[in-house]
Amino acid sequence: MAEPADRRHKTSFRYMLLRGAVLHNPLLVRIVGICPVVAVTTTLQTAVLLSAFFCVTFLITQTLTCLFMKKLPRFVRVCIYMLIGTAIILPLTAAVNTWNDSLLVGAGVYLPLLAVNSVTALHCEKFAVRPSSTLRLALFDAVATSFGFSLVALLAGALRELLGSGELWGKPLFSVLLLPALLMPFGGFLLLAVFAAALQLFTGHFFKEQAADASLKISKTAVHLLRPEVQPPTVAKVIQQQKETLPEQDTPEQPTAIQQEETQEEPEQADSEPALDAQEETAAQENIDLRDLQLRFQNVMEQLEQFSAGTDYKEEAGAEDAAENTAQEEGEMS
Amino acid sequence: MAKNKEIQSATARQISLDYLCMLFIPVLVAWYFYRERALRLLLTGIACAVLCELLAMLLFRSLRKPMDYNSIVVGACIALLLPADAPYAIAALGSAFAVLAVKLPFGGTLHSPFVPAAAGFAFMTVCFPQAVFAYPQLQTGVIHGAAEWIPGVSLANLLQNGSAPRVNLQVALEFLAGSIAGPMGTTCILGLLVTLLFPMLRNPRVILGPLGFLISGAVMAFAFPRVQTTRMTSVFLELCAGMLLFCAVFFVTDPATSPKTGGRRLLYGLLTGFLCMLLRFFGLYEEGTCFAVLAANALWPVFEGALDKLMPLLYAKLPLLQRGVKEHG
Repeated sequence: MAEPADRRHKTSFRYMLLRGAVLHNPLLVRIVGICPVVAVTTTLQTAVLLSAFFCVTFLITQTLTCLFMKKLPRFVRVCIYMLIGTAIILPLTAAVNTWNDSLLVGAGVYLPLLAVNSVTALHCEKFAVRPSSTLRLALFDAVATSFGFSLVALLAGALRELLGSGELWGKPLFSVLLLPALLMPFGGFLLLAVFAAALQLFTGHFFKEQAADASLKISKTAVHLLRPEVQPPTVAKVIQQQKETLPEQDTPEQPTAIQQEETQEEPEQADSEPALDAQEETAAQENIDLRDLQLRFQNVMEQLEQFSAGTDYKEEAGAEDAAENTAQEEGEMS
Repeated sequence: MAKNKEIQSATARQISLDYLCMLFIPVLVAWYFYRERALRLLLTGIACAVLCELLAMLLFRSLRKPMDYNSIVVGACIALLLPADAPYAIAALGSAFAVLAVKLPFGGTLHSPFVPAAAGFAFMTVCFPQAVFAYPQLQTGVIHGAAEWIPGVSLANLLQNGSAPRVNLQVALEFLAGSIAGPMGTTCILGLLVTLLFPMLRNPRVILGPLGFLISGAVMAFAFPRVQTTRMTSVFLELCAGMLLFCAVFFVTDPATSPKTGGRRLLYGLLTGFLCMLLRFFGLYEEGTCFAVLAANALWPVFEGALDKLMPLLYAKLPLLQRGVKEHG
């Protein structure tokens, strides 16, 4: 149970900005939405255009999601994100085209593809649609994430233009020892990798505790691909392990980390946490064994899902949890 | 743990020393044809690679670790792949990229999933294709000064354009001796073949990788000749052209990226040779061997995973097949 002051600090704009732009940067830590950045940001102009399009699309989509789409089922919401994105991108593209059509030529197909950007869908699903998330928090998150995305895109665009063609904002600066490879997608990947390493160094030095939450964890599947001698756990083995650990726990348990993650992903459950706690207590008093078996089965299924998913991020009860809890309390108070 | 690291470090140093010994003949050939210019280019590449490694070690506070000489090998290989009149900055940049972007981020020698020198040369090729493939001509056999640089046409360029030189005994001997325009350390085929004896004497299984590489290249050249000559001439020209043999000797035998068992080494060589010839047939540049090596480095773990799954099945079926052969004669 964290202190209320601490929670208030974690829902402050300053902390949200740090989390969205630095600790959970979409491009350098979560590694989502890198396709347009790698392909398009070959000049500072296109980077500015991409950042502006992304910020507008993301802010509007997140706001609308937080206001109107919390009750909708997920498969409907994801389609609506795309529709909103398209509805924003099309007039923006037309406006830019009438103003300066050469800009869009440089951006290619990747600018319209921002309508189906994974960063938008991910953040809306993980943050905006939670019953606990208020409009203020959703906007904070959108601004912070957009800032982090834009910062990286602008930096990549400026560096690639400078080192790849010796220009900045179209003005030639030098023409000695240029690296045209940086203008290719491979150069973009390389630059993002360097940025990610630098960010990891920075967060590891200045934000040690938060950096542990933000770090990317290689999944078991990836380890298995890289090292074939590490075999994946079979269903029978996992169940056997669960059975072996079962008799040791006689007392009713707190929800595990996996379940906490599950509650993060499914906000409907998180909303009714107090009621669930009461039910859990009574259920534990009535039939502890049944409850344990149920938890074990859920753990097994969760492990198997994690294994088949391919990648997973280490986002345990950290800043997001605290923010969510505070938001819940605020909601209850209001 | 510390002991393991010491053993790894000693092994890496021993391997790098072996490669340094192997580099003796290519360096000698480069010096013979291009004199002090070749040495300057070599020193630039080596100095930049070593400096980059020292800088990185200083930055990450690991200067106490002894150097394993691998940077010297990387810098020398990159310089030997360049034409003699290449700017020094290109050699320095390629070496820096190989060490800072390919070797060190993955944990140094014996840990990098890609051959650093091949990656460095690929980077140079993408950045400066004009300078990397502009070879000076060897009209008089030996060039002694920068004033004598005359733009020449390499054998790989001729093959890419579909024109083949008439091959008689004298021309064939010139090709084998390296008296043609090309990268500094890769044209002398006889020298590289002699170099290949060194790893063969150290560990005979190492030869299987280059062998598979050359067999694959030869088969592809025989089956699909790019020039209108006899098939055997096509094989000869393809094997002599560019940096194919150099890559076979120095990159395919790389202990960090090549498989450990003999059969798999052969398969790895075959795969690399196949990719190399594909890039020669359809690639943008006249020489794509380094790209082929990098592609094989990336693809090999997938192939190896498939092999791991297939081999037990094959061994399970083997007794049945043997019984079937016995029953049916």
